[in-house]
Amino acid sequence: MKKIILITSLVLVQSIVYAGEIDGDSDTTPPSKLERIQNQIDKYTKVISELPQELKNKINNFNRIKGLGNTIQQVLVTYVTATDECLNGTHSAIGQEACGEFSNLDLGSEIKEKKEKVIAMITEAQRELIEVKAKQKDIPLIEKLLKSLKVTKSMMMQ
Amino acid sequence: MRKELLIVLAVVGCLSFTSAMTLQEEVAFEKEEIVLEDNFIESAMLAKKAQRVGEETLASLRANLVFIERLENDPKFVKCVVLKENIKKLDKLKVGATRLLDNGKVSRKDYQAYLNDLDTEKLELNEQVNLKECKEK
Repeated sequence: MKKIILITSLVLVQSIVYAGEIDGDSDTTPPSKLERIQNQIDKYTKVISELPQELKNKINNFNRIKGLGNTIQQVLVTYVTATDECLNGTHSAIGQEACGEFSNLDLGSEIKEKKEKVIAMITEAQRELIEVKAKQKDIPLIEKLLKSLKVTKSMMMQ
Repeated sequence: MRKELLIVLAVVGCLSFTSAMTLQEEVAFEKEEIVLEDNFIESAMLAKKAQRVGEETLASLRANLVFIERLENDPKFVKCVVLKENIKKLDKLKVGATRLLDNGKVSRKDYQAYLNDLDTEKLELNEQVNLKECKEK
């Protein structure tokens, strides 16, 4: 009788442990098809809700670098004019003191440095423009994808 | 009888609650759909605008680069840039002189003489700017 009780208790404990393992496994089971579809819907909804702000930032960045390019050009014009005025002694507009400062200016290096900056900005603008064009193409695709995902989801729920 | 009435009332209550919940869910879903639709429309418009602004920026930057390269390599162009800046300066001097006249700091005679000098100088500078090497490429 004692033996039967002992064996029964052992089997019971074993069953509890086994059941616990199965329960633990169920936590890591892959998501169902419906869950996966919902995840995709959430992902693309997030992408499209963040897109307007992202595009506004890109427009602001374009305007910023455009302004910067024009400022660089204007600064160089000022340097060139001032250097010429100081060299020819016709420094009525900027004054003798400023000419002292301009005598230290290496115009060639300044032009080279500013040119490199503008080239870097062109590269940045090109990269941003490629991204914008890609996003422009993505919008109708995402719209179609979201619609079809939602249709699939509603069909599965029915 | 009273018991039956209570059961009917309870059932009706449950049905109304369920229907209200469903309606609320539907309204929330429709609202979400409208927001999403707005986002699509806004994104499409902004993407178009971003492309236009981007292309303008790129064109402007390329023009800046051409300008800088000419400053770097073409001494005649540098001379032209200086000439154009000097013409702008003459215009500023004119504005300054007019202000002095308005404030009564100079006589009309002196002002006119100064203006004539500026005009003569501007004419000379304009002649030089109009030379072939100063034309935009």
